Amino acid sequence: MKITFLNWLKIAIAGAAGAGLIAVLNLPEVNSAVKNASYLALEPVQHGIWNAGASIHGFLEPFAKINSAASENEQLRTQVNGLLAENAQINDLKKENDFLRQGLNLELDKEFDLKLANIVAKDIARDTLVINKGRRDMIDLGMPVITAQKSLVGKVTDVYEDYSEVTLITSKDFTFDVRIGNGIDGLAKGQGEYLAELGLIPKDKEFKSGDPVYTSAMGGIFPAGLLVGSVDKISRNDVESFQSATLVLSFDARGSRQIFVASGKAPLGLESGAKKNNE
Amino acid sequence: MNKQRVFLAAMLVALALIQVSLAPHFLIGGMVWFKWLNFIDVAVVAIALFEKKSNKFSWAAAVAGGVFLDLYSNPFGVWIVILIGAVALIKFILKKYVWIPSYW
Repeated sequence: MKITFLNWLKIAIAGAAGAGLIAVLNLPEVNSAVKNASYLALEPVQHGIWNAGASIHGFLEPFAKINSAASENEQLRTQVNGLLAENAQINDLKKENDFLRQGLNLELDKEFDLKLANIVAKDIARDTLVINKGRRDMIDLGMPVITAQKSLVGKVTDVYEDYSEVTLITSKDFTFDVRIGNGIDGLAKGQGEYLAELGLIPKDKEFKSGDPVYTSAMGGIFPAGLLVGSVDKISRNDVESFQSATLVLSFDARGSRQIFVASGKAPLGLESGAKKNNE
Repeated sequence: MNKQRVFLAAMLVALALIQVSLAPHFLIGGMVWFKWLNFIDVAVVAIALFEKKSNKFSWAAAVAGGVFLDLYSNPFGVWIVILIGAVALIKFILKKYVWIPSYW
């Protein structure tokens, strides 16, 4: 079939109209309204699918990890022994903490305004989640997102009327300050695909695999003292002036269904409490 | 014909929902290909490959599939362009370089 001038003209007009429509759909207000309406329409189905996925993931995970189960079991036994000893210490600290808290009338949930949200979707190509709380629920840009165990998930990077987009800390180029173990400063950097690593750790600082990693207030992105994960493989190189390490995250976006969006000030004393526990 | 189109459109919606709400639970670290080669990509490419040469449904599927994927992605329009490009490439290759034997 030979393409005539008229057909070329039709294709050009259709292409220009399409490009124009895409440009309009990229305008922040239009984009926000269209996405919000679509999420609203699809959420009932999506919520069910996400929960089904989380259930299947939880069921299949042990089978996927069956090869490493024996060595993991050994590691866990060692950890349990260590934790039992730590637990005794923590109980003492908790009693002391409760006493001080009563004295100061300090309530964490008053400082952290937590909003429970359901995860409804994940971005195709990036480490971002869509949650079912938006501007209407007083969600704002930059708010930290945490799990029920106060593990850091990410931060709100886009807000629609009824939904928000959360960029996970594993998202590429997502960097924030952290504190490793008993007070070593470093930088956590997302690697994409639910992976993250630690960098810019001074060479003279000693830390080991399994050390907990908390957020630090230094960068001003997150409140201090939120659990990020633990140190995995450490990389020390004579040529480089800093140490780096891979990070095992304490949250699992694949198995999660609900998260909290936190607003308000950082909980007072949480960081120092974390430090104390490590000491 | 219309029933077939409605069915295919419904299938694209279902695939988009599965892609964004079910598939993320099964992403294994390092499977970078997974995020580009998703269910809608596969469906649109399959439609473009196996539909009749005179049929133009794959173009509509590329636009519709692209819109669904772009709803969960930024900036809007990237997936539409990728899928239309893929359909155009497949149609071009099929037209110029592939001869499908016919025995009747």
